[in-house]
Amino acid sequence: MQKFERLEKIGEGTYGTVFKAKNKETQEIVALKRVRLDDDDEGVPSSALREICLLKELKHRNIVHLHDVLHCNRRLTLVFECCDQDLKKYFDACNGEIDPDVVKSFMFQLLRGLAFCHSQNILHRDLKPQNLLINKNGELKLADFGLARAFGIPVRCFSAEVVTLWYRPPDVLFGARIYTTSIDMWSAGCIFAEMANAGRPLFPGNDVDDQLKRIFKLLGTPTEETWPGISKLPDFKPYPICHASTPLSTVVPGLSAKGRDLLQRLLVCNPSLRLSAEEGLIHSYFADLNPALKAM
Amino acid sequence: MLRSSGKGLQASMLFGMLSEALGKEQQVWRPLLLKEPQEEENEIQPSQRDEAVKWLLEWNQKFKYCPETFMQSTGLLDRFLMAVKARPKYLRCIAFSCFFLGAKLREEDEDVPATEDLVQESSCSFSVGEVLRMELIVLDKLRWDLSTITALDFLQIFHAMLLTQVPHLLAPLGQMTPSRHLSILTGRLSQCLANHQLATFRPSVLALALLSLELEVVSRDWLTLSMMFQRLIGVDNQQLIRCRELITGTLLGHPGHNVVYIIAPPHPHSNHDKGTAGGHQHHDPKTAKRKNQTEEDDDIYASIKRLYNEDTAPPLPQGELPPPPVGKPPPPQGISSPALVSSCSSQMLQDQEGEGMAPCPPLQSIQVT
Repeated sequence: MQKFERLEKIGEGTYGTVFKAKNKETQEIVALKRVRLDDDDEGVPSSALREICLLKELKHRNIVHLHDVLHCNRRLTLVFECCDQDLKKYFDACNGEIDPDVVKSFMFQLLRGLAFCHSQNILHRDLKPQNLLINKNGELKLADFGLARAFGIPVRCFSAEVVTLWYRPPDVLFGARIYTTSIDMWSAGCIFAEMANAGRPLFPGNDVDDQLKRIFKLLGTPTEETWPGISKLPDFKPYPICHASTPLSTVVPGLSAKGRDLLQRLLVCNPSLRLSAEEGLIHSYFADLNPALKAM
Repeated sequence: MLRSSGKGLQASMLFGMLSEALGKEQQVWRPLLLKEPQEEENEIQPSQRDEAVKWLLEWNQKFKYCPETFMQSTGLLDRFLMAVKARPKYLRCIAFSCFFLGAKLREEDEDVPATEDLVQESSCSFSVGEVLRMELIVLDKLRWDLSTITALDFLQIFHAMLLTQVPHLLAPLGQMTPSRHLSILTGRLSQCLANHQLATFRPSVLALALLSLELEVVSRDWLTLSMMFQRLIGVDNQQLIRCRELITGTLLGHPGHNVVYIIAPPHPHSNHDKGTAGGHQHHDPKTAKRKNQTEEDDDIYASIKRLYNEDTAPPLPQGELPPPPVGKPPPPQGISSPALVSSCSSQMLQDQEGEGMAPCPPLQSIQVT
């Protein structure tokens, strides 16, 4: 650990404290995630193990890079590339206004990182502004893979206790344990709207019930017709029928018509009809995106 | 249940998955090389390693974990045993730590009990402290590199490729569903992992050898199908045959295994062949039915070729079924139970020797990016 000079504390991750540090040999600035191992009897936290295992496979410019894993004296340190801030802090600093081009650039990078994860058969399962890192070049990177998991061809039952409430899709809110990449696409839609509104969350629910009500109020209550099988979900209960009456243009006034179309295709209650990351990337909303960013 | 087709599983996607998996295999997989130890009492013997894999399987079943967890644990165990000369008395604790790691990596948190309960329910005699210390030793020795590629990854991809392209493949098995079929194959694969000799084969080869034995039972076109996969993963006949023989031996040595199923005649459309394990003779009297069958088979080839983008590729040397063996084929070497290593291996060998040249086009591994 003598290799690094500890600078300031950046934050608290799911399973440890994150510090900014400088590599004394290379002068490189890194982020150190510290995990104490003697805290309990469960050994190395599963979230740390999964993050170490999965990030080895996910080398991509829109995914945070894990440089190294160091273990000594009952302390585990994950050495990450350092990003200046996360999207949440970026919102806090932007004074209620984000350039529409920045929104487009961030959304494109989010979808590109996600498309790569999904192509490697990995679900993130905890997308939210706090887990998206932004560096000073305006690059966005997916981080915190502590809840992520690999998925294979045979369908397995997964946990329904995933994704922070505000970004959790209706199928998982209804207790679905069989889901796939569409789980991350809902979160991406929520984050897209939040970026367009300069950091105002789209569905800031208080509990599962309130969360579903907010979603259905905006998008209309799904039925067996619009979403076959909905009533068979483990925690399904009927909600009063709402009809989508508020146009998206009043919900995300800063977003262009094409942007609203993309949002509409991501925020689909029926998971099988939700747009995939790969499809999102070729949406016409990104047609006029800076070509340098596309090629990056 | 399997991921449904349509948006889910397309040929190009499966091909991409296979390509990724082969790339990973090349990068991370190493054959299990366990030397017969000099001092028998102080070093772990290959047979003891096999015993440890059986514990892993037992624990995995006890906690109802998915087969991926067992595969991951076994991969970690093998890599650890190659990296470290450990004493046999620690083997159970090492194996348990690998199981513990596999569970934390592959199962959901809510399905992994507290370490103390996990140890207790596995009827192990060591303490939680010992497990946690061993966990860190395993991780350090593996340099915290936990990525694995297993034969199950390949089996799932091959199986999906087959069934998306040849949907009626399982028809001869009656009420068999694709997911049940895959889980039967997965069960066999799990047993194979408990034979250290099979851990020297590439995971893709092990998966294909297992699948090719099964194909021989369900499809008259097994050899062509098997050869297509063979070309995709780049493995020669000798190796595949050797692997098939070892698998047959391993599965038969396992009590309670459905032996009859394995040696079922490779001619599923006709009941006359039952019991003649060498039966590739095409003496089906229903000629009309056969004709339909052949046309159907042509469709299969067309779709398989589309799957592999082979429309433009040169045709296989045996565009149709290989000729039935004439007379009694010479017994291949190294076969322990001749009745069981049915015509398959000999036929493959014969193809190789009979024409005085390579039986299939030069084996090409697929492009790994």
